[in-house]
Amino acid sequence: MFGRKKEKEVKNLIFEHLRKVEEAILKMKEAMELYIKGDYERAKEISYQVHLLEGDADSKRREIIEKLHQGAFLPTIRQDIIKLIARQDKIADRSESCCDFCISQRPEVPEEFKERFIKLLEVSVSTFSPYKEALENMFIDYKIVKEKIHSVNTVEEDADTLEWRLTKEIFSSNLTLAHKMHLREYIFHIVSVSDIIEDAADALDIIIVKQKF
Amino acid sequence: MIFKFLPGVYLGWGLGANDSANVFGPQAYSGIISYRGAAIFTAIFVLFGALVEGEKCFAQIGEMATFESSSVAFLSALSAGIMIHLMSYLKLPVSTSHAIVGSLVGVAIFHKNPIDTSRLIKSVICWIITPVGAVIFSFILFFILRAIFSNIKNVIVYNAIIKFLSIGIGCYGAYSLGANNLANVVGVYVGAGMLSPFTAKLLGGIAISIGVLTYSRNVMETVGKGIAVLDPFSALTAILSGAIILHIFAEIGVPVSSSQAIVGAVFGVGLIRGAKTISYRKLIQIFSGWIFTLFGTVLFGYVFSYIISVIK
Repeated sequence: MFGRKKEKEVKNLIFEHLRKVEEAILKMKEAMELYIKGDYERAKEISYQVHLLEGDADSKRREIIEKLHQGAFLPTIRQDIIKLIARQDKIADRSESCCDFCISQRPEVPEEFKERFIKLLEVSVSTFSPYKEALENMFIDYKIVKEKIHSVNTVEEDADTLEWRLTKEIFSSNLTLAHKMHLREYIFHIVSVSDIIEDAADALDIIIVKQKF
Repeated sequence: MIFKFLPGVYLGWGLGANDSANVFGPQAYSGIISYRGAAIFTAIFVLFGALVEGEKCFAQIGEMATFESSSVAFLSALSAGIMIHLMSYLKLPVSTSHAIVGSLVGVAIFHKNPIDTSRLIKSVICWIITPVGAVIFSFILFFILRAIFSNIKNVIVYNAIIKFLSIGIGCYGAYSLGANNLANVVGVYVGAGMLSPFTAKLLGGIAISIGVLTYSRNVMETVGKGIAVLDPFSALTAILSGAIILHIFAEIGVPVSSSQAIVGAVFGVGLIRGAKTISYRKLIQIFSGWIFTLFGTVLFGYVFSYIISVIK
């Protein structure tokens, strides 16, 4: 009578969506590492897989919205879940954009910056791990959700710090301004992933805050 | 003879159409339950409340005035019914408790019949206590319910509890409404000896339920929208506070206004949360609506009695 079945279906779909997003972001990381290391062809292949996973995630997102509109969850929570899923979906979108940027524009990463680009990539992507745990616990325990959201913020700040340092070093180098700007744009694509993960964590936090008194 | 009960049935219909919003409006408006479902639950529990406890307020209305003829009961119900219709048409807040008492006083003044002033004063005092009591109850319930809700661990449990309580509290509110407000609809007929208490409970309860089933949706939308600016938890606290106040006054035997109760409760929840839930303009509008209803029905009761005496 109180619609627990519909809620469980939505929960399962949210987890399926999360898995697709996770696959997309991990594949993106793999593709970008290969790209930075110079294996363009393999990076291109994996980028295509990211593109397919982004499409899968999008279909799951639409399924969730449809299920929610069939009456799962209270209307007030429903809107917040839709916002959360929209942001979660953007994690896959941004992963795809990052791959697209590299494959289409081929920014040239100088040897001296390669390691730091890979490090930035790792930290940006690692924001996803606490986010995933936070989301899984939305259906189990709010207390853990809060802790994990805090971890997302901490890791995201680390990514911001690395971004700032790397940008500074690039602009202090002897590269041409066009090259610097191109690398800056690449950095922007990498950290936009951790930014959107933080946004998704914020959307999750709103759901929790609204249910606390 | 049946003709003389029509104003009571009409009054009951108006009460059902207007006041069900105070117990199920926010739940229906926010989509927790469909309007159809809300109307069905309200109709069933209003009738249940009327049949089980509706009798308790009969004396307050039935013995407030002297019914030396059936026309006193008829005129009282008629002027109250017309006032309810007029106020609803003007989209102003209206209370059947005020309307029926005002009408009784108006009719009694014309016929130079005595009014039981102790009962009249009791009603007025209870009307004042209703919103104040609702504020106090919303304070108490807010903290009790918050303690329960703070232990909720996840979104699915929260969702299920809110849904369960929304429907449960709505049904309890409908029960309290039937128990408390039935006397406004048929109390005069019992006082005049025109209906037995059981027949009055059945007639009044069915009239209110039909009002709920046929015409409550618009008011549910309007009232629901007003209260649903609160989060589901606060809306539930407000509705439960209002329902408890109505039930308490049913036990005391004095019909009061469900609108006054809910407005007081919403105001109370807003005070606790530090949120402005009702504008002062709205409060003034509600207050003047009640005063207007009371004095308007005194006038209507008097004028209709005069017209009938001229026709006769």
